[in-house]
Amino acid sequence: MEDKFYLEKTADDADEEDEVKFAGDISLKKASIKCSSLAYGHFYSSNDLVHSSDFPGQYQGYDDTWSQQKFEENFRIDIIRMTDDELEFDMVGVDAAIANAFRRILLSEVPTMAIEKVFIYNNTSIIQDEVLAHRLGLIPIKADPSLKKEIDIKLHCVKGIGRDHAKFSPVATASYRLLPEITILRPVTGEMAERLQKCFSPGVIELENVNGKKQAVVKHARKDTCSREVFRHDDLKDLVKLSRIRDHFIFSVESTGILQTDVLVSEAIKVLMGKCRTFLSELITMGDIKLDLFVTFLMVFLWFIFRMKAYLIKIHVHVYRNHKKE
Amino acid sequence: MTDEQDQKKRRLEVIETGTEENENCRTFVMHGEDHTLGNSLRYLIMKNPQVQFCGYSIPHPSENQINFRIQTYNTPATKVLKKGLKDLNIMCQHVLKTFESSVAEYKGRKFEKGMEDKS
Repeated sequence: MEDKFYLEKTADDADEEDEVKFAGDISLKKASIKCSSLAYGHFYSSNDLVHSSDFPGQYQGYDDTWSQQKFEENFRIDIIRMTDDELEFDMVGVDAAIANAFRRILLSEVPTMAIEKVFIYNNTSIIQDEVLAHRLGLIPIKADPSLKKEIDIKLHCVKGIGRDHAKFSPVATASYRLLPEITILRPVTGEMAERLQKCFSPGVIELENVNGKKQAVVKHARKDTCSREVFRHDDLKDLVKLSRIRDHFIFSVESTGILQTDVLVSEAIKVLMGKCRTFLSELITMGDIKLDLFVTFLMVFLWFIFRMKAYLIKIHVHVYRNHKKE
Repeated sequence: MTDEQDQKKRRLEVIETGTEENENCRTFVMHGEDHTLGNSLRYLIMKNPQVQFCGYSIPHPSENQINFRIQTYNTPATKVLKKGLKDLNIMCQHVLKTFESSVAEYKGRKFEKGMEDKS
């Protein structure tokens, strides 16, 4: 809504035509990341905005201040596929900084149990003690102790996180990719259309019959592996634009089998919330130290006044009694 | 508990700098944190129009801590940090709520489909 308002406002003024174009460019840049044909070896060219730049004061006419309401309006999660040990879901309307935090927490900060201490009483098998201990740590382990091979051990499990040792990591993988976006800029027909289809993963481009000619259309951009094959064809490379939606994350989480995948993601989000709360309470107690000092000072002062008063009253009473005696 | 023990347990510290700095500029030390909280918190704090600069660094890869720097135009840095943490927490609450309802919806759909297939 705001983008539109800005465009309408400046469109009235003929002198600011350049600015209108500029604003259009920004909303494009803000929405997607362009995969340029010039950037061989890298997915993105250096002059394109790969990092986030949607901060207040960065773009004229845009209000990039954090708003929970706006976030809640745009944000959505779609579960694509879910089994006990595999989960694919789309997280839309969030910045890479946040999505990456969840991914990192999944890999290394959701606590699990793993074998930490192995007491080996007897081991005549072909696996050495230290190798066995290491392997046991990386449960699940499948051993087939044949005859005359004996393992007599005591195992101690502890709770830990993947940051300490990979054996505690509750996931096999946790990753995300951005949703690919393929735009065909001009109609591609005939032999060129067939070649274009072959440049992408199966199912991405399909051929439709338009006026008796085969024409290439984008069907499932999601299936694309973002190969850069099309840029090798000189006649095709300028007919398509490859980009990715900046805030559409396709998460893929595979559990090791200890916890269900949806529980893992919930736990990861809770871990980040826990971090926030820890530091919030730290900040509050930091303020309390100053307050404590002030309160202590005040108490000492009041106590002093009170004692002084009591002392003065005592003196007064004493004087009064003495006076009465006389 | 002595002061020393208290200092050891503390996850958040403020780096003491020269006297020329006012309360708008602070460098916080967050113990036991890395890019996970560093970058997501930096993003949210940068979204605050009061903030002139916000960034973080990991001073040494084998030290488990980050230096978190905040410079503002005219607000105490601690206040900005507090707002950032609160915003991140509330945002996570919404993400969690959305995720859980999406999962419940997916499971419901799958269950219904399973019932249809059986009958």
